[in-house]
Amino acid sequence: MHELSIAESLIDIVKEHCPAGAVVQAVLLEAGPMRGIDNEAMQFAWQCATPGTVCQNSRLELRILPWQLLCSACGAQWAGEDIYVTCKCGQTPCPVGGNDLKLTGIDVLTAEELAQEESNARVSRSERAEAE
Amino acid sequence: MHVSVVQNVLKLNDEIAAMNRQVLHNASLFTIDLIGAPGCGKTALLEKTLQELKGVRVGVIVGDLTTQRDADRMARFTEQVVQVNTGKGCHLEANHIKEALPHLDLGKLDLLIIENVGNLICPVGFDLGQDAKVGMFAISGGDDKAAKHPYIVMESAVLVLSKMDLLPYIPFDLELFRSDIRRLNPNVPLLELSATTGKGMEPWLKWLGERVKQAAPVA
Ligand SMILES: Nc1nc2c(ncn2[C@@H]2O[C@H](COP(=O)(O)OP(=O)(O)OP(=O)(O)O)[C@@H](O)[C@H]2O)c(=O)[nH]1
Ligand SMILES: [Mg+2]
Ligand SMILES: [Zn+2]
Ligand SMILES: [Zn+2]
Repeated sequence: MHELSIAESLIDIVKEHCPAGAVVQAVLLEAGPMRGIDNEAMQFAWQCATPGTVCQNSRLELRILPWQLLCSACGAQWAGEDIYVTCKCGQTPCPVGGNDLKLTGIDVLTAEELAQEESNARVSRSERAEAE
Repeated sequence: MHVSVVQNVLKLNDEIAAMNRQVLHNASLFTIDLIGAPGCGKTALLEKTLQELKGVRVGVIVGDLTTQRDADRMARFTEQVVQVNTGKGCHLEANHIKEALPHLDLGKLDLLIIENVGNLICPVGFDLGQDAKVGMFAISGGDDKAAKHPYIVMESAVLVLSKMDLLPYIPFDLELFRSDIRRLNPNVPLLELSATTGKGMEPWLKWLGERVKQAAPVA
C-alpha cells in the first residue's frame, strides 16, 4: 500500500498551497510508469486518507504518464504504454526517466467564490419565492 | 480557482534522506539499501556477508512489518543491529532511518546495510539516504521478475541473483533474465551467487569492499 503514504504526503503539500478559507475540489497528481501506482488503489487510499483533512471530499485526478523510450542504436525517441517493444530499426530501446511523482495543480473554491455562490443561491431562492 | 503548483510529492522524505546521507557521509560510511521480494534470501545473504567480509565493521538496519527475527539472526554477527517495525507500512521511509541512526555507533562502523521490507515495488521509490540501492532476485522467484519490476532494475547500482544452487531444479531461463536486465539497465553489474553454498560470493564481497574503501577517510 505505498498509495497510502503517497496520499498522506500529497495532503501535506496541498495544505501548504491551499489559500486560506478555500475548499479543495480536486487534486491533480502525475505519476511516472515506474512508480507502479494503480489508479484503483490510489483512489481507495485517497478515500481513506482525506477525511478530516483539507482534502476532505475532494477528487483525486491521477494521470499515469507513458514510458519514454530511447533507442541508442538510431536515436529514435518516443512515448508508449509498453516497455518491451522493438524499435523500427530492429534494436531494443531503453526506458528513460519515468519515476516522476508530482502534484501538478489544485482546484479550489476560494472564500470569495464560496460567498458568491452563497449569495447566488440566496437570490435564486428569493426569485423563486416571488414567482410563487 | 485553479492553483498551479508543481511539486515533488515525496519532497519531505527526500529532504530527510538528504540529512541522513549527510550524517552517514560525515561518519565516512558506505550505505546500501537492499531491496528484494519476500524470501528472496536477503537476510541469508547478509549473514554470509558478515561472516566473510573481513576487517569491515558492519551495522545493519532491518525493516520488517513485524517481528524481531531478522535482527536476531544478524545479532550473531554484529552488535550493531536495529530492527525497525513498519507496522502497516510496506517499505522503509527516510524517517525510519533517521530514528534508527541514533541507536548505532556510527564512528565504529565502515559499512551500513539496510535490509528493506520484503517488497520489490514501493521501497524503490523512497530515498533513505543510502549511497547505493541493491536489487535482489532469486532463482526461486522465477525468470520474469526483472522484466516485471523495471523500477528496481533501473535504479540499482548492482543487482544480485541469489539461490543459484537451485538452478538445476527449477525451470529458469538465465539468458532471458540477463537480457531483460541488459535492456532496462545496460551497465548494471549482475552478480549471480548462492548464499547457501557460498559460490559466487567473491565478486559481491569485492564490490562492497571497494566501495567501503572509497568511503573511508583518507589516513
Ligand atoms: N537454496 C537456497 N536457499 C536459500 C538461499 N538463500 C536463502 N535461502 C532460503 O530462502 C529462505 C528465505 O531466506 P531469507 O534470508 O529469510 O529471505 P529474506 O529475503 O530475508 O526474507 P524476508 O526478510 O522475510 O523478506 C530461507 O529458507 C533460506 O534458507 C540460497 O542461496 N540458496
Ligand atoms: Mg529478511
Ligand atoms: Zn510501500
Ligand atoms: Zn532504433
